[in-house]
Amino acid sequence: MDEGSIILKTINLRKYYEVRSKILKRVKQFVKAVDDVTIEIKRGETLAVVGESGSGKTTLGMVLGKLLEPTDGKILFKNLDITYSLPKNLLGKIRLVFQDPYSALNPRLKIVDSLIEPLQIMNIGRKEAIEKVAHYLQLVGLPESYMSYYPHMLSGGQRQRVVVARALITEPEFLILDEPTSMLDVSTQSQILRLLRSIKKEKQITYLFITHNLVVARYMANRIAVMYAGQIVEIGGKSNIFQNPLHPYTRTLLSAYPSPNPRSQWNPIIPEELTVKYYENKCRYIDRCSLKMQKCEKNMPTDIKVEEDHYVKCFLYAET
Amino acid sequence: MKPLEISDLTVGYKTLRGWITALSNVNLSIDKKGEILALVGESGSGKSTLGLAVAGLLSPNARANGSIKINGKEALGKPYNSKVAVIFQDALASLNPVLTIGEQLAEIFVIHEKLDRRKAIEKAKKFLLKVGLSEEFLDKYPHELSGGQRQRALISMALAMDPELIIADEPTTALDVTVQAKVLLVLKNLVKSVGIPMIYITHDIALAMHIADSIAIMYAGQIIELSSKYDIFENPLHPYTKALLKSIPTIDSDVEELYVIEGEPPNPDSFPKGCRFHPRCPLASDKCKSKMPEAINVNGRSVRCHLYG
Amino acid sequence: MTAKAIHSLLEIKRIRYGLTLFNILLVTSLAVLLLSPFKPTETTYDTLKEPLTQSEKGWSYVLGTDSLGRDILTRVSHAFFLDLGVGLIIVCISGAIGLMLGIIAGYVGGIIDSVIMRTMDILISIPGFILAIAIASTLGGNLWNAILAISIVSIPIYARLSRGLTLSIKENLFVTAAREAGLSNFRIMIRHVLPHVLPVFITQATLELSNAILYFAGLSFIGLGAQEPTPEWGLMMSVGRKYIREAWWFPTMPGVFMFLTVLSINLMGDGIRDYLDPKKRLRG
Repeated sequence: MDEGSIILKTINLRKYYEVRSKILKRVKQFVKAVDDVTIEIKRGETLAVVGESGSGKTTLGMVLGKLLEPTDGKILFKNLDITYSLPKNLLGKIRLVFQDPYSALNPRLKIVDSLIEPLQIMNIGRKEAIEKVAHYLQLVGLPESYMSYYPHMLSGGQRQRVVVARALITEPEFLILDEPTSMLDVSTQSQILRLLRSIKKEKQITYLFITHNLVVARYMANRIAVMYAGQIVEIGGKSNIFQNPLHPYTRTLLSAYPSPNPRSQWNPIIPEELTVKYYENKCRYIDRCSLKMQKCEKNMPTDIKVEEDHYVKCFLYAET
Repeated sequence: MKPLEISDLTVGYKTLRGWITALSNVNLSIDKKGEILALVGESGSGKSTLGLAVAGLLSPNARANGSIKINGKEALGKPYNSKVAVIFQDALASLNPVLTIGEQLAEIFVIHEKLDRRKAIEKAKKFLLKVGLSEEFLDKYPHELSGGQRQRALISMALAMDPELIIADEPTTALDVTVQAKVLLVLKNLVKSVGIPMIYITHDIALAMHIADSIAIMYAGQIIELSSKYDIFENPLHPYTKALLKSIPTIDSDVEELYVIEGEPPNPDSFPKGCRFHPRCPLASDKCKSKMPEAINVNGRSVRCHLYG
Repeated sequence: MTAKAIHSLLEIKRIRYGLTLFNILLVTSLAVLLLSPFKPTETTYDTLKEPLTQSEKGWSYVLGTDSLGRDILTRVSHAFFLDLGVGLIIVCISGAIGLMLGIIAGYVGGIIDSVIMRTMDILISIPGFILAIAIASTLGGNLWNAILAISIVSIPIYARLSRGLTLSIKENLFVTAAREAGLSNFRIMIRHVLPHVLPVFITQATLELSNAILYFAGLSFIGLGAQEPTPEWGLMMSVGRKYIREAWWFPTMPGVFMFLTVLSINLMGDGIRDYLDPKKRLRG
């Protein structure tokens, strides 16, 4: 299992939701939450999926975490097709960490009972399971005694540590983190982010880090994928994306974050506020784009390789 | 006469378990019109309570002592002051769902300026344009607007009241980043051009640096440091401010390792003795454990820390 | 429930009053049941005696006697246990079935949800008591058929309640998290949904207990429930109403007993509901 081999791969992955207008039930409309997503994630890296609400990033995480069935396409995990079912020996190897630590833990269960749950289905005896719970609580920086606490006795940051421990306890190789710090305070956020980085280093886990926050993505990731309207519009190494953002949407996103230095200039690009449309034969970003061309009206752009480890879906960078 | 002067404000809440201190001995002022003061702090720091106290919107189980003077008039203990406009995070809850934006905006002019309906609608149109919403939004209902548009409609209503002070409590926290930028810039430019003082409450120090003129850092119910944003960024005095600035990742550079403030912010029902930051402070001495530091003046800046006493 | 929860439950006035009243009835009935020299079904020649008439057995007929010379207090006390027991049986049967159906419908959704809930809609669209009469008369009037009829009629209330609760609990992330951890749907329903449904469900069940008692007494009153000579409130009132002019106590006493029992149960149910409603609890 060498570093850099591909651990998870999706091929033309799609997840559509049908939206029915209540009056005319015949007209089928789809929210194409994940549309034709093909990505390769290398063992040991952190791929950040960045996008605004409605971009489909959470749905992508749920599909990869086996909580939703894809409409179409394939998911390969270590070269095994896991699109519809996970082989027994891979149980617990792909896990998800949720955003909201306040509702991710059952308030009526003690921490130990919440943590043991994923182990029970793997037929691990209670004694061994409790030892594991103690170990993983320690790993996330909580004292063993918290086992017998109820969630309401913990702070938000501590709960998120428990949620992380709950995901780690099955010794996953691939961890999907869905906005793990967006509900937390600044000082707690930095604690959790640093914890996640050190766990990754220690356990050699591959992360898919879903976030709306580019600043956090910059700290956590090696590679960044920018999602818009169900598609990955730009993907590449972190330095490629931050130093040489290409897609107009990526640039817009980047410009929206101010530097904390008050003397620096903050000139955000401000796009039109429109609902996302899932066009099939033109660029989906066209309504907001200030650089649109005739070409963008006629075709949907496909991935264009601009440099090593940097792909973009935009006609501005097409050869012809 | 200062647009806003708060002295020695203390606010407590009565709960089932007894009194909880949300704010202790807050002193601050906004010196000129159009000035924006940011309150930056984590949840439970008291920043929202301070905003509510100034607006006269404290809940009935709260008790406040001290003084809040708006343009020289005492506002504390008075009921809700219509000269203070508040913009909350949740715009949908602040708007009436069964009235159009135009009707809600025009109503303000009918009530406050005794305009007739036609003139009020005309004026509403003008105010919507100020926040970048075209005429067609007059006839739309709140649910037909996107989050950013709603928030801008709310800003236009706040301005329509011709307020002496605006309080914006996390106005963009629920919005996407690109929309957030737009709303904040609209708000800032309007406040500056009309010349209304504003309190901007946020947890995001990077945004505060670009929206506000001066910044008050709040921790555990106290203002621990208050000065111009340049001073705060370039030469922070309080250890908490320093740590806070180091613990946020930034957009314009790669950070190898984030600085971490150990521990958790204290609960309002059990603030530590002495300096409230001392259990998490790397520079804490014995004095910090026993004696609460007063706000002291260091070169015209206010800081609550024994290091400078 | 911990001792602390019980203590705070008792701080609510209604629960205190309800419980006191219920205990008085319970102790009285129990005492009469154990100590009374009269048998509930034994007929004597002391027919339609006024309350407090002295009998030959040393005790007086405290609440008088009925048309067959049976001591009303003894019969009414026996009926207390019969009616309460029947009520509990009904609540248990219909509650268990309704709870199960509601959780399954809410959690699984889709076609199963539609089938279950449309059936419930059909049941609930017919006025409950009339449906109970229909079922009981089809099956034939006796005690067990009455219990069955009332149980069927009561199922939709629990099913709807627990389905609604399940739907809102399902929204919680911890249910998704349990799915993510690989738990089976059955386990999730038992471990993560049921414990959150139960408190509200039990409140509703307490309130429904008094309804079940009233329905049962009602069916007995019209001859579709308990049969003579069973001591049962509805049946006693039904027989006694013919004698209301000459012996007012005969139909009245069972009515008063039933009224007090139902009142005490409702007081407790309302109290528990208030206890579970945080808004009301704060006001005290």
